[in-house]
Amino acid sequence: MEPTIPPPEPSNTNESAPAPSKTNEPTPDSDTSLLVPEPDASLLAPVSENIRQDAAPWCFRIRDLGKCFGTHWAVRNLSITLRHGEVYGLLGPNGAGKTTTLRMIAGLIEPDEGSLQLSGVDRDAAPLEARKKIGFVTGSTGLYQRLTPIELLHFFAKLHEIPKHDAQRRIDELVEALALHSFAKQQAATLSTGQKQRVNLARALLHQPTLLILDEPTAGLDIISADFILQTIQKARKDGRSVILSTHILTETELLCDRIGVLFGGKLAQEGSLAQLFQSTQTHSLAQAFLKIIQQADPLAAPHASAQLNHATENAS
Amino acid sequence: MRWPIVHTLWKKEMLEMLRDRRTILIMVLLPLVLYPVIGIITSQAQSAHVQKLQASRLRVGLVGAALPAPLMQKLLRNNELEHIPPYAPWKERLAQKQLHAILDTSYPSIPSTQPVSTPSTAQPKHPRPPTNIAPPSASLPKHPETAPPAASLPASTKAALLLSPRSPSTSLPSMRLTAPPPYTIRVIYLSTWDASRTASRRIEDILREFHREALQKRLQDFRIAPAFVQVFTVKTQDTASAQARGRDLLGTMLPLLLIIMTIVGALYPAVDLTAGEKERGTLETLLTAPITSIEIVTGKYLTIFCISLATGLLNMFSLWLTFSQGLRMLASNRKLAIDMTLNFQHYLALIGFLALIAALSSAVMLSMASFARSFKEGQNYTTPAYLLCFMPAFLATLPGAKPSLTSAMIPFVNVAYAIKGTIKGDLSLDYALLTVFSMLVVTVAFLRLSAMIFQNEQVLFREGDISWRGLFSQNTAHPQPLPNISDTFFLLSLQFALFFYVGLSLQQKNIALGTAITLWGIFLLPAVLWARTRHLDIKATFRLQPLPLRQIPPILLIVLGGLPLVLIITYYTSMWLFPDWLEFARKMNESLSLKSFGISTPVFFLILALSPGICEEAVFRGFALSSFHKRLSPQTAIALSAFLFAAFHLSLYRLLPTFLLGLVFGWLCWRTGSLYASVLAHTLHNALSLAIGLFFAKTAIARSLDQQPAVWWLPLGLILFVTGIVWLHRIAPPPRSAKTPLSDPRT
Repeated sequence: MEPTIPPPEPSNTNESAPAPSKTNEPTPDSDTSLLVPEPDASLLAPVSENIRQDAAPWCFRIRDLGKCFGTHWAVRNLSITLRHGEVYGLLGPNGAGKTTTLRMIAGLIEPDEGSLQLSGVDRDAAPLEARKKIGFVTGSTGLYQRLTPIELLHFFAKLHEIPKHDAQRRIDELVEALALHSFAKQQAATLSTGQKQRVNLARALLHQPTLLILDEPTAGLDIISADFILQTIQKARKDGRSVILSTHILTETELLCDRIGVLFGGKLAQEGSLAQLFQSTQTHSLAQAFLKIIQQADPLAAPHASAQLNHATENAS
Repeated sequence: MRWPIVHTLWKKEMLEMLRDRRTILIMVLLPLVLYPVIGIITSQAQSAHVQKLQASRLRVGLVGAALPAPLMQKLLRNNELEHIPPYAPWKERLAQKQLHAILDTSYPSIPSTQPVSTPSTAQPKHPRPPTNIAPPSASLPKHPETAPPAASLPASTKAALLLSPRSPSTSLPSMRLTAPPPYTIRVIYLSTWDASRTASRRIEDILREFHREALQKRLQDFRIAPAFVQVFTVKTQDTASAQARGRDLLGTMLPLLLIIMTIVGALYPAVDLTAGEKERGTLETLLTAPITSIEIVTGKYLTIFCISLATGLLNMFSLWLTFSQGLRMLASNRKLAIDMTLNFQHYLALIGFLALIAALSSAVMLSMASFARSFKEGQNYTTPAYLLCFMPAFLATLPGAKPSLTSAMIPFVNVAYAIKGTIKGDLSLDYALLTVFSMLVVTVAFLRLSAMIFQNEQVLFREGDISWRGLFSQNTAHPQPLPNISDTFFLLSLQFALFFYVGLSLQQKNIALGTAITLWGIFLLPAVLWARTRHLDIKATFRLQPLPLRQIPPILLIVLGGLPLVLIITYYTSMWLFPDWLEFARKMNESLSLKSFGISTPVFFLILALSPGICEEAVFRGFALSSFHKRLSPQTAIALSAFLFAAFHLSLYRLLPTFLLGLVFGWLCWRTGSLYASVLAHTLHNALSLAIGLFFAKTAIARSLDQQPAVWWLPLGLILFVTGIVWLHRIAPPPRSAKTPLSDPRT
């Protein structure tokens, strides 16, 4: 029923053009090209050292995404493309539009503009198909208090229409992988925050999503639980899942992300690998790079940043 | 909607709800345990308290004259007497609860000039001649109550005269029976203090008993049989059977309790499944699952419905058991013939009505609770809804409330009456059907609202206060130039309600003014206001495009030819469908006459030709057609608007002609792209019809058109009509398709 998107043309896959530093320029393409991916160097190119240089076909792409609340555009003209197994870090100050962006990608709120394509599925044409390919976890996601993790996973397996046998096998796998044994049959109300977040990750991975959306997944977790989550993300990446991660903990970003996008005022201020960000901002740490990008975007937004930055660069030199 | 998904959702929600102790408490424990326990405890506590009061000795104050010794003895048997000086602050002592009651004999007697005896003139008629009466003087002085009071008591002339006939010797010669004027004993008590009430009742009983005895003695003295002063006794007999009495009692108490408890049953799960889920952060996991919001709403609604219905049923069962058990306990004490058994049909009907209550209250509570972000906020929204639901039903259970067919349209009130009627056995079928219909309609409306809320991200993920405009508008980033179908749905529902409840009654009071107000105030004004508040493009919505002059002649032809055509089609189909159609047509012509309107001819045409032309066209061809046109094909849109136009005329007889006219007006409006085309046609059509009725009533044309259209009108009408259509079709440019460009505001 849903229109499938033709696989990217060969020219796309061979592309390994050098990355331009800025990718948030509005694409000149008109809306008619939405269904046929055209070679678009600016969207496909930036690739970090961790990722194979042969440029795997993109698995996720949003174009010109926009969301307006009343008269205020929370996000506008946002385009991101992700390859299979790529981890994308979405950084930005509070109120930059990170959560709105991730909610739009997850399908919780409807974008007012733009399109989303996910491994051959156009979301506007087949919203439910797209949701089947997305796993979503936030720091504030809750669990059904009076269900056990096993019941919860079975419930979501049914919602994803996974056959019963497969569901059982998959749940066993996840219980194993996320070490849920000890509390798998306790009602969720009795679990600790870290245990709950592991169950949430299991729920998000249950249906083998191609894209994992994580909105501050380690918020409020202790180091051990957070580390567990990070390891799970690494494993998901190895399984070929793309991950889009929003977090305020920059060490996590540095550790995990192949590419980083800095969101400011609803727009992508800068995008690139860690090395590219260091290069373009002439800094040596992600924190400094982040502050500099924000300052470049709006000098008033980080009034104390310049002093800090000068201090940092002096120290470095 | 995929039912396996809905089933999965429902099963999970039910599992969670049933694992929640609070649900079990409200649903099962409250009805099953609370009613019997409260019933037994209160009745026993009540009776124990009353018994204790009756056994206790109460302090009674005495003011004024002394009382006869036997009376004093009787009073002292259960109470402690205390003499109080006449001007002592005895009211305060009562208020301070030092005394339970006060007997006041200093109260002025009612001046009685009339002797107690029957006047002498009446004596011949008297069954017992006074001669039979023995002289009272012989026995009277011996009477203890006439003896002077004890020395300890303050002597008072009033007291001496208390109960003794005044100087009996003087009355002897005339054989008139005289007595002192009736004496007033005031019993002072405090009604807000139960012990005081008991004291006053006890004293009154003693006084009445004493009075009876004293009277008997007096009568004995005159050798009058006690039956003599009793003209007749009153005895009432109730022919209601024990069963009827039981059902009357049930019918009064059951409806409101059932409605309240069923709504309460829906309240908690509704808040928990919506606001509670938002608060716990689980709603977003559900919303990111590959299921539609309609499936989520349906699953949640069914859960709330099941719990609400179960609560209602358990309550019904428990209430009935408590009632009948309580009555059995009462019946063993006193002779009480009340039978509360109900038969199978009663239960079936009650379960059906309970299901209706559960269906509506679940939908109401679901939609209200969906607005809330937290459990607490959810309770804030559902409590007023709860009061609004059951307060009208409360009126229905008041004694003397009579069900009318209007009340059958009001949700909850109608069910209260229907349950009452079911139990008492006087529920009419049409009332029951109307009840079912109106409850279902309102339920569907609230379900629709719930679905809208669940599709509205601004309500689901809102940070600030509710924006009502946000709820009903889908996209604030791109203001919609044309109304949505949902706009038309809400607008027409509002207008229908106003028209039905306000417009029609106004028209009954004053047909001319009422019609004008209905057209301008109920049709045009709300449509314009709606368009303004929704920031619609007024010009596009109401198609306010200028009509080229050259398009007017074909429109005139269409109207001229259309009038006989519509009349002929109507006449033959109506004669076939409704045998009494001619009668209806005659009445209608009569009501649409100058005489019945009582106004001058120009105003008559203004109200009945121009006003409908403008107002009805603005609503049906302007607002409604534009909204339908946005999503549907021109044919469907025109047909739908024509049907609504016909339905608003509220007459089965006129359904077909108005529908046909609606089709023609709709086509004109669509083809020319201008509302003025259909306004012109509508006005002209109405004016022509009225003119025929007014000016040519006696002519052959009128008779031919009105009563039996001559067959030769058919080809003439057809020629004019078709010519007009073809002409207009050729000169009016083909309308641009409104559907494609307007449905996507992004282009």
